[in-house]
Amino acid sequence: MPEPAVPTAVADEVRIELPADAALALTARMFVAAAARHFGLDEGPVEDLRLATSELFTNAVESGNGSVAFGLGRVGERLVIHASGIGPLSSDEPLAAETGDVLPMGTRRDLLEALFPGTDVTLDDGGTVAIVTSIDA
Amino acid sequence: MMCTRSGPAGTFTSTGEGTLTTAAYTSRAVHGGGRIKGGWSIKDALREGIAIDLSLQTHTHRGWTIVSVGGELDLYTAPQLRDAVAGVLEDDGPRIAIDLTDVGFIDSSGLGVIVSSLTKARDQGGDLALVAPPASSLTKLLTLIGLDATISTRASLDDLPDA
Repeated sequence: MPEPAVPTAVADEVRIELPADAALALTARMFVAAAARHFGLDEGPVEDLRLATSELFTNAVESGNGSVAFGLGRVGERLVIHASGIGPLSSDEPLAAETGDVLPMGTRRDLLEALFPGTDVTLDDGGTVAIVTSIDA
Repeated sequence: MMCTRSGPAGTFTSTGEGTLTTAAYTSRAVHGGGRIKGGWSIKDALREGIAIDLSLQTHTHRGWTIVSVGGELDLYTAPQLRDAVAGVLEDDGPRIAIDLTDVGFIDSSGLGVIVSSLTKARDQGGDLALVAPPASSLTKLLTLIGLDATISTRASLDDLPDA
């Protein structure tokens, strides 16, 4: 039987639930970064995770339902990050500056997938994201 | 073991042995002119609901108006930079350099404000330069998004061309 793409049984999980308020983006980043370090993730991937968290939180503020949650847990040598309440990650709304200049990366979804190449990034239209990344020994 | 802590910023829970009460977090965020390093506690974050504003200072350097930024550029703080740059464009003319040496983090919201500021400066016949170390969050994000070929950065203020 093939392994599920996103482990559903996660031991030693930490989770935070926050109002989707722009002022709390820093809190979300701090929590996810601290939790990732706690589970042994190296500093480079932690910085990538900080950016991913910020993008997801921004999406939640702009398109979510008012509350966003981040959960992290370790399964063997893998770190599983769940984010819920982030709202839909549109595949056709490009990132853009206030002047209307379109940033060439494309969409926020593109940016998230570029941050974790070769890693499972599972997105659904209900506003939940799961990222599974390896923890280097 | 279930651990739950609630504060004005939200609720934190942990299960099993993952009780995360403190975490070393070295941040270059600047608050009220001071510098905070290390020792951020998750409990502190929940208790305070920390929202740290940008540090913004302006001065002139070799004909350039320098906007020095400290802190983290995201959805919450990016408007502060936008407003500061707009004020400088209005008061001092369109030769501006944004010094991001002390910016420890930037996301697409922050980058969007930088791009729009660049557009506005050029629309006024001037220019906007960016100062950031080669391995900074900004240069990495520019590369990731594909703007590194069109938006250049200077490693230091001394690398700015003479006005």
